[in-house]
Amino acid sequence: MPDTTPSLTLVAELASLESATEFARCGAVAAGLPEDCWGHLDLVVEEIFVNVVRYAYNPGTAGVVELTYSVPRPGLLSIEIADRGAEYDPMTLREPNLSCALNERSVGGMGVFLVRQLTESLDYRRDGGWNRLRFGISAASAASASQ
Amino acid sequence: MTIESTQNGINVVLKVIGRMDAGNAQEFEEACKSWVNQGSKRLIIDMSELAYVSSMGLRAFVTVGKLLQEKGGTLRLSALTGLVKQVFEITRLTSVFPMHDTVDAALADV
Repeated sequence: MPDTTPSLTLVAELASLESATEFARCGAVAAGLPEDCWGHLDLVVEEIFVNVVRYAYNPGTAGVVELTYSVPRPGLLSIEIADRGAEYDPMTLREPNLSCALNERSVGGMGVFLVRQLTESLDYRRDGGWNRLRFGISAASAASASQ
Repeated sequence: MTIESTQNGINVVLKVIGRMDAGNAQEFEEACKSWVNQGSKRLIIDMSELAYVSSMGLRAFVTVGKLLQEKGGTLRLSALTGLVKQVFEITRLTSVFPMHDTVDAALADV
């Protein structure tokens, strides 16, 4: 049986972000995700993609980002974003301190936190030189994030 | 993203329209810093037409907020809606900045 999993390979640069989010939108349509959670999907894809662009490869190295999507069940979209950069498991990051005052707030660290909050599942694996980060998103996970 | 700046007495209102992402968040930060460097201490961000913000945008808000605080000023946010409001709530930035339902309410807050 042929592999029909849709995939897209992009250069790891900020200019590729729009192509990445457009690809993810195709997955959203395939999964039947309602339009009111497409913004949440854009956000999750941007946070993961930008982390790859900024941190995966050495400056001046032309790296790649590979995206694939599948629909495990109607209403659930699963997307894997993979790179061949330095091993990086975002699951090991500590959650940012969100209860401190402005002068003590860190300016960073909110991207992975948002990804965790907006997704139904998030899994990392190192696979033959690839970082593979897979997330699942549904209307329910997007809607419940702020509750 | 489009930014429209209006000076209103001691207040500067910056209306941010569209999407703030990794590609343009710096533009917003620079626009705010430009006003702060000119001596403005009361910046009000009109977010009624901001449809999207990612963590790079949040980073810009926190950076500008800290800069203003150091100078004895305040960054006020107004009219957040939809996804943008949800993102600020999830990251609890709603408890860090003075929040207002409308620009007029922000202007009236002394």
